[in-house]
Amino acid sequence: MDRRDDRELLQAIARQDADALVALFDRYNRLAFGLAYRILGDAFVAEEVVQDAFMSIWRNAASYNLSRGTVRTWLLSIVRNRAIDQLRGRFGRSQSDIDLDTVAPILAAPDLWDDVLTEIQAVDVRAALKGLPEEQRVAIELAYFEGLTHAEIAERLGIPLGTAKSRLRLGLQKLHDLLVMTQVRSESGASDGT
Amino acid sequence: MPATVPDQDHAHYRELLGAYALAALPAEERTALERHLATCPTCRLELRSLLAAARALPLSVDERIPSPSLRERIRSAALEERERAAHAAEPESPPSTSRIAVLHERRSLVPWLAAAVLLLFSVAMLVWNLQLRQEIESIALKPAAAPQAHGKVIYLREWNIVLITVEDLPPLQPGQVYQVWLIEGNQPVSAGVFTQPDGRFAVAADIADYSAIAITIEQGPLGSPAPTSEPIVMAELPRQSGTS
Repeated sequence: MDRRDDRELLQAIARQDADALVALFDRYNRLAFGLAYRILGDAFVAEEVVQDAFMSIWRNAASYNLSRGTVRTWLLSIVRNRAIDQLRGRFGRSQSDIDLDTVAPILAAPDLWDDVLTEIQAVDVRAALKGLPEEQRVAIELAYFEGLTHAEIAERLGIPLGTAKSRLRLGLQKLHDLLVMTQVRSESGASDGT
Repeated sequence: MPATVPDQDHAHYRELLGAYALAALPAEERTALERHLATCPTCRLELRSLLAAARALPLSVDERIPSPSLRERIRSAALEERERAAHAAEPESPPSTSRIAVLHERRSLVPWLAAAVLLLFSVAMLVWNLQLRQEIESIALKPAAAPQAHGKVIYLREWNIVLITVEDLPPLQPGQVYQVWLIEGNQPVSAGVFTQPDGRFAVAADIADYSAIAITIEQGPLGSPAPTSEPIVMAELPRQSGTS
């Protein structure tokens, strides 16, 4: 197991250290593959997407900056975007890349909360998703895991466009609040325990 | 698709933030929203939270083990790409057989060096011209068999170019050439031939591998496989490393 943290690995990857890339792979391959598989439902294509994403990191590690979030966030957003492109038959320049990768620099400051998020566990995210009203969770999952636009979500669910927009926004707000609560609870729980 | 909306419609844009954070906005609306975000701190602040939540979503999936070969596939793809990039970055290599380029008469040193580089290397090498002065080592060619002959060897260490200036070499008989030798131990290697008794020449060679350079008179037009006469001039080459 490589002792370097993610950012150190990324710096080494920027210097074209292939062992560092493999170390990053060892750390996140199950998550990355799980995500690609969840979106695509096809192991073969999902592996292609994962390889593609790691190669993208290999090429672009030097251009990584903190506004993209943690290294894990960056990797997973590449996997997600590539998988959606595959799913929707989009080739060439990724449409989704434009979104999730360029959204962040618009934000004035690095997202401090995202650092807290590095500690968050899968089980907490699943619990938070379960805590959402069903219709909000469904709308969010259609957007994230199927790559539907708000209009397509409205059509799929047979709801007005305005309603689809609200479900996405309110759902994410609620999810954010639930996750923050989880973090606060686990932090206070940890200090109680010692 | 929704109609265009006035820029100042903050409420409208605010409603789009969730879709934006989830990459669920069509391009037109996305561009319009980004313009709004640039001027609206309230929306930027909200977007931060929404984006943080969106970034947590991939953690909700079940982890899954890819096939064992994926790891090595990625490693070899990375190494292959690195290799390719390294080759692309390399300057065009000099001809594999050493050869001499004759440089026409010029008084000043720098244009002469530039001409040598131009002759032997691709245009890309010229970018480095500015650095030339720092890379030069100049060694006197000492007269050997021909007492009046003299010259100079200039070694461009970084680029494996040897520049040779000679003056007053003994005249050639018809059919003869001057031949340049790079010598390591007792093994002279031909670096090429020329015919002018005064002139400047560039030799593409890694002289770090050699301890001496010498010029002899040989039968033309191609010279000899090994020297057949005493050197007319020669010079010891500086050692880069290792034994002398």
